[in-house]
Amino acid sequence: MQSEKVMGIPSELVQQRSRGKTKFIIGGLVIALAVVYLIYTGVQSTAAYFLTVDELYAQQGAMMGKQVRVSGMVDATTINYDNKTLTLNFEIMGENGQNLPITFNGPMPDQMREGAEAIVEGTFDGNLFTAKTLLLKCPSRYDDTIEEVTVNSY
Amino acid sequence: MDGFMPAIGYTAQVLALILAVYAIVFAVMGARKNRQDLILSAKNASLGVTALLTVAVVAMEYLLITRHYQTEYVSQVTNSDATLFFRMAALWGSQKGSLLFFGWLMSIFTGAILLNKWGAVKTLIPYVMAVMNLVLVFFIGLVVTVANPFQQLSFFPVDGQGLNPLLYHWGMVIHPPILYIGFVAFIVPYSFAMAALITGQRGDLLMRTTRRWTLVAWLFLSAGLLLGGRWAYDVLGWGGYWGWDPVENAAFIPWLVATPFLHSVIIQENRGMMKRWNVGLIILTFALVVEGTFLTRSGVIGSVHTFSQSAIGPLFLGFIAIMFIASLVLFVNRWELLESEGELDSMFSRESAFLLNNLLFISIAFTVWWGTHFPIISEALTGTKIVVGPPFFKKAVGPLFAAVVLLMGVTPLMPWRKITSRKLLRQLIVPSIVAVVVAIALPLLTAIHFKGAIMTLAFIAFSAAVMLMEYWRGVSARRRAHGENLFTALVHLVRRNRRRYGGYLIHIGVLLAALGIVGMEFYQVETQQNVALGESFSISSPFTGTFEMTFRGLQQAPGKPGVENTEGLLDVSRNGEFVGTIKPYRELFLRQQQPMTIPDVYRAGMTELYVIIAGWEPDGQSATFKAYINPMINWLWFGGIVFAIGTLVAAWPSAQPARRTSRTRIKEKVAETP
Repeated sequence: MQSEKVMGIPSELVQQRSRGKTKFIIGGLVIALAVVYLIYTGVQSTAAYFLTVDELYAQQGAMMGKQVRVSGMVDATTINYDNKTLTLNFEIMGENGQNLPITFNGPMPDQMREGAEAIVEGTFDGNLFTAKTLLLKCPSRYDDTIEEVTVNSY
Repeated sequence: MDGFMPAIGYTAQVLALILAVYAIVFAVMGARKNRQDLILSAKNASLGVTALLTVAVVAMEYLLITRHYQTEYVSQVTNSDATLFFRMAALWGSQKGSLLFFGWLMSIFTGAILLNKWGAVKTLIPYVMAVMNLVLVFFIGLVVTVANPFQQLSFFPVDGQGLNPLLYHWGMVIHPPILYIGFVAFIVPYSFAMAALITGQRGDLLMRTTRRWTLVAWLFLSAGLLLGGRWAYDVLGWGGYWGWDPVENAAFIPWLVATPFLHSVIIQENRGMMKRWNVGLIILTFALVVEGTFLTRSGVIGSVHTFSQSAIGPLFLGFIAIMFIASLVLFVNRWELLESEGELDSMFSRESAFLLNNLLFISIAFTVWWGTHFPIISEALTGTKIVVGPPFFKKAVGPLFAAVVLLMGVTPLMPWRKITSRKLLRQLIVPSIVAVVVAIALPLLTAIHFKGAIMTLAFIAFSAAVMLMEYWRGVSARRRAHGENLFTALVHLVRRNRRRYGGYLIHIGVLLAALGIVGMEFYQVETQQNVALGESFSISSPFTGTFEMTFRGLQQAPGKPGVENTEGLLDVSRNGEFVGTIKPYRELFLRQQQPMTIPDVYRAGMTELYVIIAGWEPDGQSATFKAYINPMINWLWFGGIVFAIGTLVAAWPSAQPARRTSRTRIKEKVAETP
């Protein structure tokens, strides 16, 4: 194996190897640092707290004006969509019965209805949550409802 | 018959589980005692697993096709509206069925491996079989215990629930199987690597033998990712193709680790280096595949589309932990054996460029992984969940991808071992001129002014120039030597070295796709507008000029059964000239009361005007539309096709007798040089 290493290479090159290795290590470190820098600045500029409705109300003061992501079940009775201005108002439900009113400008997502879980990102001013993005978790599988049916049937 | 089918399916699953365990025990025993009869018995058992899982899948299909709603799974994923095609595809429509499907696909790979002739690496096969069946035991175990798709209800429902309407799209139907095949196929390189570690082989040979399998796995994974993007673009109506959602990332991260693996394997073949790195990457890839499957199914990270939360989460986590730790222990035990035979000679060599490619890809993979898991990490560290969205990924990963694009062009210019800087500079002249010309011409002649876009496009031009030059060089050499015409020379060139020229074709596909990504990331524009009948609104982009759309009314269009279609008619004119009518529409699935917004597009070359209907007045007097101009988007899809063709070229079995490996050739060459 040893002979293979030096095969065809002038011996002075072999001596240079330790120097060469350092170069590669430095190169690797530079890349690692660049990645850490990219991740760090990325997180700094786009991170948002992910809270439930109750947590948001509990930390209202601290979260005022900050980028926050909140998730909760859509209360279908509160959905109000203006076709013309594409203004969508609705509430998501907290665990303790306190709802969070949300306003969003954009087309109403297809999944917007009772039982859907909404994930909104934006800012809260104490009364109204202004959502910049609105995502709805597809209830793509109907496992939950089926389970209820199963329970009832026994 | 109906009553028996679930029992047949379930029994097949149970027997498959028993046979898989049997195969593991006998394969290991046979290998240790070197008894061919035991190994043969294990092999038959393993083939039996494949056969039995096939029986289970057929039984499930039968139940789905005949609408056997008493089977809980059938009642969840189909209903009387579903056509035969969608009833059959419902096999992978939900958790339990897709687990069975996943296991079945995996068993098919196991079967294919066993039926293949392996020649030199034959001694590994018993352990390969053992590792594969070990993984299979986990998946079959799930469908036998906590996720049995043959579970019966105590009553017979009149009708089923049916799939979510969003899934009624060809892209969604073929996307999961393709992605699954990509996922499960990585079991081949993984189990071969494990078998090599167990038996203490160095693994050069097996890396070469399994290369084609890895390439196929990678092709399916890539195609699955692309199809998912295409489905999002066609159906979801948010004007994009990739949302950096955890589930998307879960499939992307293994791809990001498998890609550098495919490259660094080439170094191992040629220089006998990077052995540890390669084994590490293949372990990591497979661990990430299983972790991705777990992420998708456990609901650990809030995602837009996850399977409902279930008991299988902890089981998956346990399995990943055991698998990963066992692999690492083996890996560390064989550390010495995997010692490198060569060393890096120079910064300016192909192996250094490949190493850099590896580091970049791993960095991207790590960044995406970190961002995806950030909620979990931050909650563990600080107690609060912090999330990062798409802007994080774009900011952090964008520059790294740009570097990959540039490197794609530099690498082919570097020979193995070393190149003098003078020689390298001479090689760089033409592509550099192309890149500089592009960088100067773009802001002067077009509306492209963003520095990031100009730089990336210049990189793309650089690498594309190198790829074309490589082809040109090969073709003209053949033309001189054999007097062939352009086309024959090209065909022969590619056939003589599929791997290299297929690889270049893959790179060209990536570069074309990158055009689309640059266009979308930097220059997508959008507008939303409420218009009355006869009224117009417009959207402008420097790429296409101004589109004016005039609302011509709503109309009901015939749709699928159980679906109501409402179309909005828009006359489109481009820079004042009428070019056609588009009809974005909304489907309403009556049973589920589920709407589905389907965009319509007007194609202007590679750029698309993409419009959805967001709402309307009941009397049809006004409607609201959202429009996007998606610059160069079609390059993304076209690049994807080129990419797939390139991969097929590279993976296609060559008809010629096995060529000498490049490594032996290099050795000869080196020996020749004075």
